[in-house]
Amino acid sequence: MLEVREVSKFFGGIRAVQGASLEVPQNTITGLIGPNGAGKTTLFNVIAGVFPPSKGEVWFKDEKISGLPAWAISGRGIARTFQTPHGFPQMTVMENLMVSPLRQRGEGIVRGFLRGGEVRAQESEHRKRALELLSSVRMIDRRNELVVNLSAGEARLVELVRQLMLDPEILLLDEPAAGINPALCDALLDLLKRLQADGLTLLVIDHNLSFIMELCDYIHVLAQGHIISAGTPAEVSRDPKVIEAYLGKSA
Amino acid sequence: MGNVNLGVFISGIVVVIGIYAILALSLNLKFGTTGLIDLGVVGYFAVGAYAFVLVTAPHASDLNAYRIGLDLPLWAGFIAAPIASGLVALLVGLPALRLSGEYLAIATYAFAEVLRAVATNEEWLTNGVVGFNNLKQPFRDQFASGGMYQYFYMALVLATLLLIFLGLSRLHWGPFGRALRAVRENEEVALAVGKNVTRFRMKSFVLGGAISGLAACFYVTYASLIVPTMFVPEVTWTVWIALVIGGTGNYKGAILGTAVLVTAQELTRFFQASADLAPMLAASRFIAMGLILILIIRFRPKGILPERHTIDPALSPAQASSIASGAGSAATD
Repeated sequence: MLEVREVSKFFGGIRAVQGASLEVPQNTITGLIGPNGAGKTTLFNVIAGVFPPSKGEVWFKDEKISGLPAWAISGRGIARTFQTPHGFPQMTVMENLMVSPLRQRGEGIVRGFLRGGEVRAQESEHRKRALELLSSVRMIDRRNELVVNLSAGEARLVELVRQLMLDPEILLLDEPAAGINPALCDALLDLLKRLQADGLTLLVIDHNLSFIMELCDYIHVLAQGHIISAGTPAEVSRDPKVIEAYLGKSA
Repeated sequence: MGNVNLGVFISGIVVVIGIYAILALSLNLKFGTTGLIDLGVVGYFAVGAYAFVLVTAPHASDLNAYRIGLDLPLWAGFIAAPIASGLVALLVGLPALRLSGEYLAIATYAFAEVLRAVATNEEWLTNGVVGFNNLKQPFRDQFASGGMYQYFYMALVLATLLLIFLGLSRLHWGPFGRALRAVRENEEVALAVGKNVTRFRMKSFVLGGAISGLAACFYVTYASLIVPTMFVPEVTWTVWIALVIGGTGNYKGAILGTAVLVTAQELTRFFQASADLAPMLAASRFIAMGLILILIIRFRPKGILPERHTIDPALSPAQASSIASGAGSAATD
């Protein structure tokens, strides 16, 4: 469904990602792991269109998306979350969710002013969905709070449900479990599995190996800009190259 | 001062407040709602003013320095001015909106200064420093007395202000304004929710520019005069200070801030003193402006009326339970 072909990204002399290829099959949860500075977030940003790749291409459903602006990539049903979930800080949780859906009819000046029946119907549909999503992460009572006032864990949940408001086909999660307490971590695991069961495809970056191993169908391991291993969690965890990358060479 | 004169004096202040308040609303759309630091406020204002004058001025004779004068009725000027200002905002925005933050501020400020230089020097277009005077005023011939016309004019400005206030407030609280606020709050996240950030910025910028153009029609017809020195950077600073005092992001605040600022400035006229102190008293206008700004920033940094947010209404028990039952599959479709 999503295919990264030989992507490299250079920042001046720094080679953040070098010839990385990976594929995310439809309706799977694919993990991307690697030590700090391996290039995971850079690769994510290339996929999401924050910047174009220096070399290589990204394809999504038979269409080359690398080179498209970020808003057009999100508009194609590729939703990404951020490592540090700032959201729209001086807007309420509810406003954060309501602003997110694609193709809103009231977003032009004229229709935003007139707000005819079509616009109102869409708004109430989005509101219903937002309330359901907030309810599913037990945050419905926080909906009128400004996002800037949320705890780190709450902000991360809002980040996730905000992107679900896009009704995406694939969700890219950048460290969804970071800063979330262990109890909530299990709930998150359940939620992500449920999303998969409902037909969503996920690509997940995380440091937390047990979380990733538990969650993912496939895992790609990135180290120093290269993909050094790929396979099922069991295969990857046995791969000596992976152990070396994480723990260093044994003497 | 007699009663009639006092009334005329006050209505004159109200007209000035009204015109500046329209500019403050336009700036609030650009800065308060969209987060664009636009220091070119006076620029679109000047474009609108000159567009109005050129459309309504008599045809140029060989004795005139200016070459274009369409001699159209005033209403055509009121239509042409916002269109011209909006178009110029579009042209400025095309390169400038690629910049953000202070870079945009510098670019827009430079634009306004360049424009003033053009107004001063391009005599064939603007009649240079002489400008135009004795401009026609809307519906002036319907009124026998200047005093009555003054009140009518005040009502006209206030009605326009009210309409623009209502329109922009409605936009602010709807999907369009919400998207603009998202663009203001976090460009990166706005892109990640599929918003074409540049396009939203441009819409806000052009609409704001067009509104300044409309304000300019009142500015020049009220003075019945246009000269380049009417478009100095002080206009921009006054509007900015008014918005900061009133509350950025709050359209009522923009109007209130303008009223407070202009009233404080005008009250300094009542200080009486001997002739040798007069220059110092003239400076009290700026002291009043600075003092109010400092007090607001110190004690009420979000302005007199801070930005408000949409409050989602409470749910009835029936709604709550229907949402809870939908929530299980919420993540689903």
